[in-house]
Amino acid sequence: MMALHTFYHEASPEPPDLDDYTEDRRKNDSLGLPDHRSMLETCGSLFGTPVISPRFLRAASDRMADLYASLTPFEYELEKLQEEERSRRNSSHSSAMELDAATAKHMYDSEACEAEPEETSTPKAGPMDLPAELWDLIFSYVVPNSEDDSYQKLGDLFNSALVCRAWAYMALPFLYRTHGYGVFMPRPAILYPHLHHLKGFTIAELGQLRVSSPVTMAHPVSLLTSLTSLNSLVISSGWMVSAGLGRAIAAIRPTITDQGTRFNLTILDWKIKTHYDPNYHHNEDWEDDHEEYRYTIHSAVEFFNALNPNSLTSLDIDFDVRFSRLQQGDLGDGTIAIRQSSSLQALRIAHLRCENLRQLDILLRMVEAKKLLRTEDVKDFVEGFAREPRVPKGSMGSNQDGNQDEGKGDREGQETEWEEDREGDKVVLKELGIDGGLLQVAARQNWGEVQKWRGCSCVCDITTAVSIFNNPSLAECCVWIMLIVIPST
Amino acid sequence: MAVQIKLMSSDQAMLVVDKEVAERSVLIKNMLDDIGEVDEAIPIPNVNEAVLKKVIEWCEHHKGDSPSTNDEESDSRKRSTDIEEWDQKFMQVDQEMLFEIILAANYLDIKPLLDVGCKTVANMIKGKSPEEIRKTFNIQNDFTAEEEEQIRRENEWAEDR
Repeated sequence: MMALHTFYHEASPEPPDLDDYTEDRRKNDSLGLPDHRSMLETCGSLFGTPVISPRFLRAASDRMADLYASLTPFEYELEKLQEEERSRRNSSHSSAMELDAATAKHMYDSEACEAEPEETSTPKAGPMDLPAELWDLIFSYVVPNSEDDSYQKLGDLFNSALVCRAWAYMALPFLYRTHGYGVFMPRPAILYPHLHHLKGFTIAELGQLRVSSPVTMAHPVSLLTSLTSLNSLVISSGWMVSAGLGRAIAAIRPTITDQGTRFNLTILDWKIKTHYDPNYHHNEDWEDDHEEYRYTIHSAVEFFNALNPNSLTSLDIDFDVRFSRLQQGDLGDGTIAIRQSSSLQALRIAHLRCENLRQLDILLRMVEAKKLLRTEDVKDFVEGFAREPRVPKGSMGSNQDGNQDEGKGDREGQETEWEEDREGDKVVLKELGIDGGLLQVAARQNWGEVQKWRGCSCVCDITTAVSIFNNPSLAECCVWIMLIVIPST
Repeated sequence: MAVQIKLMSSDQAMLVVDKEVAERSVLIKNMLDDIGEVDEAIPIPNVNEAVLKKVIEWCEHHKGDSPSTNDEESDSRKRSTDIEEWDQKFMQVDQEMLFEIILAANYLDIKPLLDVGCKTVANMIKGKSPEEIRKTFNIQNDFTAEEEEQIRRENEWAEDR
């Protein structure tokens, strides 16, 4: 109030009223000038401070309805929130802030006499407000380099969101856009009954979803904290692993004590921080820059620290960046597949497809930290995998150093063995492009399970993957939360 | 001799500036392009004298700057809150003046000045706790305890990042 009053004071020798406002608008219109006062009205006060807004003085309910009808759902929510806030504040300070021109004049007069006691009792107002689009610009600077996908601190945006309601509405979308590719998702209370019918969303689809009412914004990771009744969670994601994601998942189900309870976590297409994906934009010296790599390790370990493995009855992880990113030469078509036996109690299957040795190194570090693979058998399995260079070199080396024979020989051996067991499955193995011997480990445990995963491993097309995992027989309460489904370009 | 034009602030103060300086404002530049030479003062009805003087001061200092391309603008955004030393000193004003400058830059369509102002505000936000931000901008906390807790809980994943 005070701030806007100051504005009027400088702009006009008279107290603010609608005539002055209209006159100014008319003058500006005649000069072809924009009027930033109108923007002030539109955005309302982002400081939670009551503002004399000519539009709201004039607006009858039907006019407001017209206004609302022209807004997007988010704008509608913001507009509604701000108007409610103005009403609430005007009501609470009604003695000082009546929204009619006479009172405005009185206040103008009162402010001219600064010594008057009622002036001192008026709550101190914020500084002059800015239009919403300018706050948008300011918050874009709070997030440095928002178009880059590199690691960025989010604490400033988080703190901004906690300042007041209006700031939350401004800052949260930036928070979501910056990290998470999360845009807008229905609130779980609304979404939950229909979740099993939903497929995964692309960003564009989520944008479309926004026009469906009722929709409010929430980050997909935020949603996780609210979904406490799940038995199974499938995350298809290029999501960067982080402590926050681990905590959110752990919040779904605290440590499981009831033997009959289960919680299956499946993370598909989950790359451990894709800074090393050559398809991802990064500096030219990215291979020499170990800072991001260290952060990757740190982030992955923190994820498992926060995940609380005791809240999981199964964990299925698929690292496969080949199909989520445009393929380039560096990746080649050789993959390292590590599949964990499904007989394990805590971790049913860990299926990791490592595109390069860095990812393998990450995996091994996890193993050393006992964060990923929690039994000695599996640990031995993975460490044995690492000790025997023939598998990684066979698949990667065949592309990098021309040692075709070694890798080929390994795979041929595996395929032969495989044919002895299941002749018809050999075709599938080739289609999958997975190292035969490693796939065999899983296939022997539960071939039907492998077939269910086939679409994801092979195609990694979201529509296909969703259709496979939406099979009700897979889980009674299988929920898809698509944290990310975007191409890198 | 440089061509000069007159600007009339909202509080009826007349300021004479070089046309080259004034044309840092896209609004004024377009206006001059449209109407040609004018002897009368150009009204700037939403900017008072004090703010207009500050804006002109900035424009005079930056009058030699080449107009930024889209690429440069994008690059500027990537550099984020880096502000030139002179601009930093220029923006060392009270908060009300800072906001007035931002509004004026927006109104007059002086994008580089607008960016500097917004970056300055962004820097005032950075590194502060919610309470410190409220104090800085004199904002009232209108969250209920439940609402604040909900936002904290739902966005905890971002807190330590």
